[in-house]
Amino acid sequence: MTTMAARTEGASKIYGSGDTEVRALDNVSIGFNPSEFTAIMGPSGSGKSTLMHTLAGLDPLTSGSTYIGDVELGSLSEKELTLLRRQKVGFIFQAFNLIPTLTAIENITLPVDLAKGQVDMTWVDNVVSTVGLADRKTHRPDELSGGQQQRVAVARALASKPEIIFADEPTGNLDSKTGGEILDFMRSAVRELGQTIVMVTHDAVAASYSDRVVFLADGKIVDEMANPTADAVFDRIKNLGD
Amino acid sequence: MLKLTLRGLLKNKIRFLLTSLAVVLGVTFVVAAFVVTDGLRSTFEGVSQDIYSTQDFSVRGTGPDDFSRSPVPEELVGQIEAIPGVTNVSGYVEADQTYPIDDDGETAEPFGPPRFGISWSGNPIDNYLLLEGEGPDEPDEFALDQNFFDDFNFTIGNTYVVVSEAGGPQEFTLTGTFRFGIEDEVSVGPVFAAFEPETAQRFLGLPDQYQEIAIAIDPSANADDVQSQIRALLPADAVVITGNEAAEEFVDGFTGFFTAFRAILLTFAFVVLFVSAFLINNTFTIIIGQRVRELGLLRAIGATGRQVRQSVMIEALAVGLISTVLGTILGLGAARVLIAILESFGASFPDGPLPLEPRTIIWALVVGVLVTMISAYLPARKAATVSPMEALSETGGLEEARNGRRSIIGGLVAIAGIAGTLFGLFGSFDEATPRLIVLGLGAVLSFIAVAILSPLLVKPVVAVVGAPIAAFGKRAGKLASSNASRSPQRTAGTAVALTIGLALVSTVTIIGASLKSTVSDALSNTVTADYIVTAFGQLPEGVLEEVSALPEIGDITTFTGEDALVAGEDRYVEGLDFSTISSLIDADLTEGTYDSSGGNTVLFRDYADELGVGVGDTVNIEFPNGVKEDFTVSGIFDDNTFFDSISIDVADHQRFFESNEVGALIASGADGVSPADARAALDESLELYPQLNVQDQAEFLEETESQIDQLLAIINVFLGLSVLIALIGIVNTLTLSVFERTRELGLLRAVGMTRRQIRRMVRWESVIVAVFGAVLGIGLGVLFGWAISDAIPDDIVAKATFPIGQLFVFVVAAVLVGLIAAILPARRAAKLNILEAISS
Repeated sequence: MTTMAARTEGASKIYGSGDTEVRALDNVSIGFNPSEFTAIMGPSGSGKSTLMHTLAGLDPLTSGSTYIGDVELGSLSEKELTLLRRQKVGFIFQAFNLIPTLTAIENITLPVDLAKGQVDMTWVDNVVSTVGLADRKTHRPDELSGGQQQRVAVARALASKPEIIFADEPTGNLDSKTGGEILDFMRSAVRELGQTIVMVTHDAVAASYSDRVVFLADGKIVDEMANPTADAVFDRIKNLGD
Repeated sequence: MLKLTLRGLLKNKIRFLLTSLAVVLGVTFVVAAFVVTDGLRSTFEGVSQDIYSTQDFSVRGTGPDDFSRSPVPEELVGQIEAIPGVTNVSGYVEADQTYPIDDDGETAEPFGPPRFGISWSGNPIDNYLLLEGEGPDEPDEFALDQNFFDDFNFTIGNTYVVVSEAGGPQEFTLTGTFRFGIEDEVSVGPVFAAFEPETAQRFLGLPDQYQEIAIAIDPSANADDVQSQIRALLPADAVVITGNEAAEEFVDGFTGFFTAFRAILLTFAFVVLFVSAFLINNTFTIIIGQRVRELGLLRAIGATGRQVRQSVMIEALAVGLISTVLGTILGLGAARVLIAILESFGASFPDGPLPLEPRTIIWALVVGVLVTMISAYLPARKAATVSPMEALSETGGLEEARNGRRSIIGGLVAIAGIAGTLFGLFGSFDEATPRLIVLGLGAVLSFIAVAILSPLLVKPVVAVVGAPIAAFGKRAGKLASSNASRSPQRTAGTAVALTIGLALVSTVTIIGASLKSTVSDALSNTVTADYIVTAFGQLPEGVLEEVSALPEIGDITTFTGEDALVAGEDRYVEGLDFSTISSLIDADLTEGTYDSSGGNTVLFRDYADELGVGVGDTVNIEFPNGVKEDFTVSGIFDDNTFFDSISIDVADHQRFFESNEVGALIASGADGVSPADARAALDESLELYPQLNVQDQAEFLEETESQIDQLLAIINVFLGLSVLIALIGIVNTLTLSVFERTRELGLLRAVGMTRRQIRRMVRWESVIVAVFGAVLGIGLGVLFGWAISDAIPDDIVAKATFPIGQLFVFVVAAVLVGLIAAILPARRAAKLNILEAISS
């Protein structure tokens, strides 16, 4: 069996204690294959964001373990986690993805710069032109449209060739056409560049771009769907609420 | 609305604290300034009441101040005693610069408190309290005040050399110790050596005379009647006043000192407050920028612009009030610290209570509340202009003033400031006070102009300052550099405190360096004499004779001088030994000679031009004794560093001024005598005069320089407070910026910035802001220092000298300030919880 890009084993995350105890993740075990585009769906409070945050090493588990590649995150120090993030993990957030004082290209190469690594400019140029930002490289975020800003964010996530990219509602702030472009691009990054992406979304259309949809409710995995279509996903979520 | 404001304040305690810190410091300083001077004054008042408590009347000569009254004849004592109703009469003499030398050869410093020789009549009206031993009643005895005795190594019964200006060194036996009849714990500072009256008169240079006569009367006698009978006995230049009046006069004698001292402290307090005002203004501006969405929301739900403005002003009022209270409490403590600092520089203070007068509290309130509210006014007005739409906008943030308008307003203020400064420096004033006011106003306006204009300089300067940091600090450095220039107004507003502080410090430093280099140039170019002998005051009698008698010493001249009317105007006329002066000092005598044959004068060229005379012409001098004499101009010199504008030969000087007083003397070693031998002979002959300063050129220069350095150190310690405020300002801005950039910091952390890199980024930003402030401040300091050095007459400061090394040290200090200021904000930034930060 090939190594998973990331996985959890019996992952539980509990906030608070006693009466106010909230079980955000309840004994979740799941793996993400390399070069796979996974969407995680679920209603508010289902634990989908918590799952992503614990997978990315931003939030420690209460019990269980998570792995990026072969590395178990629970045993890492805060510094090691940071280094792991900048080498092996890419992030795309819903908004405010970019550092306002840096140009587009500086934002893209930021994780590599922080690691004092050598930026692979051929690769970066390739990524930049693929996302269609070749003529926007030296613009600052406030000179870019929302869609362009998200494309910069995607390019940044790709630039360091991470083992896995976590995307948190990456199209949540975009109109459907611009959002579609971003999702198209994310899918092609998986197909053509072999990238692994885990995306949290509540949008059935966005989920339909993925290879597999994982449904969460009350901190537990309740279902999975391979090669989803928007309609199928939509039907499934409707039933989840019951 | 009020409730909302106060809730907001309570919720943001840190914001509140940071804003008030600057005000607190300013108030602290003002309160300390008043409390210290009030304390001094009330102590002096208590002491003087005690001293004069035994006297009903005091007879004394008239004169411009306490130290230059004419004496009264001693026969008056007997005449006053004969007046019916008078019960007790005692004459008193005193003279400064009278001191005994202890078993270790040490004595009170000439630059410390006064060292008085006084008379001891044994009459209780003198109000001396014998503590140990006996009072002096033989011509070869003396008693010491307890403080002097305690501070030095004396033993009662032993014989010591006591030196006075009039009597020179003389041996006396110590009989006992005493204190004035005043509270034990209070010491006013001066030290006293007491002698039996006749000895005191002779030794202190007032034979058959008294300075004051103390008189007590029968309580049943008619005081007015007695006073007029005494008055009838007095010569024209003497008065009789009551004991209370004498006590008040004693205190009034120090009023000038109190006022000047307080003015100095308040000037420093003003600098601190001025700098604080910028800090408060900057903090409010940043806070309002951050609250723009909240303010927009308030406007959207119906708050008027006026209400928004009021809410900000109420916040300022609350900050001002609380800071005033804190500052006042701290001020009482700071007063003690202030005294300790000043004492560490050699000043001496009485130990007494430090009263908090209502006036002090009022000033604290005015300063604390008013300064805060004025500083907050512009930000408050800006807050009122926030539109309801801002609540909904994505980006938020207040627009910074446009550069065009900024340049125009700043330019106008700058022109006014520069004009004021230049007029203050070079304009003609009759008195010093208006000049200082104009100069101060000019400086204040110049600094305001700097505050308005400096945001324009942020981008270019940060680009330069930030370049090495970006190169050295990699990504963290680059981010820091762009963070520093993302809001020029904020960066400039933060740096302006440091700019002002360092501008003042470097101005003072440059003037000091210019002073020193002028002295050193003058010494090496002008003075050919080997030795300089000076005293605090006049040289004691006999010194000139001692030195003249030494075979190891060659040429000598004395410096002495007194006021006379030269061509109808009051002038200081110097007396020099014309026969030797040319071999001791080279004053660039470009015309004529020093003619010691009598009736000749040499003039400074500018003064000769002013009088319209040349070599061979005559100048009329009218001496204080009424004698008018024509002097022939025998020479004209060009270098007035060491000479005053007009000199006559020392023999003429003694004859016409009827005085043998000598201010200082300079001498050279005799031909063929080694410097070591000459020096040894000189030191040996003057062994009995420890108050004399015998110096060679290098020592003289060194001492002058160290005196200048000491003065600079005192000034810079106080100006350094503004640097402390600048530090608080940077902490303030960084903390607020970190808070504002929470999301951004979270993102940086998420994409792999380590805590260390975050800390580094904040630190570098802080350093950039500090260096920006320093560069601007030192730049201004160089301009001010240059202008002021140019304005000071050439005989004091010939040309401006720029101590590059020291100025560089200031830049390094600014870097340190930046690093220290960044410690807490950097830690805060690094500790942010990533998840909370990115979801905020």
